Amino acid sequence: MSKFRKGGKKGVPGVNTSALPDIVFMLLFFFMVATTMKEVDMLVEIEIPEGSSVTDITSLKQLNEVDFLYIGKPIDGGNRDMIQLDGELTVSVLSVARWKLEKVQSKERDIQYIVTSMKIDEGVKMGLVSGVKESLRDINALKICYAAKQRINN
Amino acid sequence: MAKAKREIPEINAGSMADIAFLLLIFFLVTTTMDKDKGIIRNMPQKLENNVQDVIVKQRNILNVMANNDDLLLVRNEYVEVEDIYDLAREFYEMNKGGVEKDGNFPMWNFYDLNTVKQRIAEFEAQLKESPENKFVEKELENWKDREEIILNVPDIRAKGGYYEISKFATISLSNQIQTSYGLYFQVQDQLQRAIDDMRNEISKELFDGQIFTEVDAKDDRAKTEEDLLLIKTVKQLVPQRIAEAKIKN
Repeated sequence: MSKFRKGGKKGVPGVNTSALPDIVFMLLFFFMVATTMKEVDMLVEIEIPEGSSVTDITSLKQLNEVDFLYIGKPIDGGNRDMIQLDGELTVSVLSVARWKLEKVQSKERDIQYIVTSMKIDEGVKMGLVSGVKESLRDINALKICYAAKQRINN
Repeated sequence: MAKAKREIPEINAGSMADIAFLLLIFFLVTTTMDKDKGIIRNMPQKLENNVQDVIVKQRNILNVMANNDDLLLVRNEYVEVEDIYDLAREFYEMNKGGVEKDGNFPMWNFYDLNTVKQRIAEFEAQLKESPENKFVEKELENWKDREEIILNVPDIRAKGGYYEISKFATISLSNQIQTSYGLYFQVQDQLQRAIDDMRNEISKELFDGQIFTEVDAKDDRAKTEEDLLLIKTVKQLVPQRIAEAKIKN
């Protein structure tokens, strides 16, 4: 038949995949460096406000000197604003103090140095927020942080 | 006799990619990209016994009130959130440098080395009489900071002293129960931006263009002596005193 066809079987040569691990490792390291651990699964819906003069607290987070609490409307329905403390939902501001004391016990630093970062939905009313703040003040956890996003254009 | 060359069998690295993928997917799932940011505030300590109310002149207070309908009242006038920045700066800077432009805004006092030394001596004497008095201790510390500033900051030393806003100047925030957190946060943010900007301007002026917020954001262990002096000076010159009133119905 054709002049050019050579005899014998000829398979497609295998793709060299020896560089694949390198690429994947590169991606892996990128994500390890550029991201931080998720604190907890969200049980409340939160849209945190935007601010133009916010401070980065990531370094504190890496030192384990920040505790996070969330206030917003529950994801699975309900109109009442609720406080999420780790995996638990509550409406009582007194349990905030109990939760905070438990958290601090496992840390080496004194309670007054450990920041409580509050991620609060914009629509939450100040009555609840100041209740939480008072509760923290009672146990001398005075350093708080109002979590916010950086506003892109001032 | 020469040893026979033995070939070392190559390690099969084919599953390396699988392992790396596994790790990659783990990190993708358990981490988040967004940085944690926010406005940090120190709440005042809870007082054991009721302290007497201190009467402060009206001129020394910037009253910011947010009501149940999310309306803002600053010094008894309705304003928008965006105006707070200018109002706060005006409050701080109206009588800047000791020029009494408007009697409705806080006074600026001049501190020179002699006055400061005199005050330190006075408070040290007081502390000897009542060693446990927290208030006197705090005042003494404050005056010692001022002495340190006058002695160590070149520009201030050259002038023999500096102007500082009245120690009573305070921004007072009050809310009602139904005020939304969104508005409260925006007020805090505007105030923070005003104070940050003023602090940055001062630190640029006195410390060769260094920016206060950048120096302050450094890790505590990375701060040098100069950084600490800068922070102390700027905080003394532009104090951040935000008082929050008890929430109203």
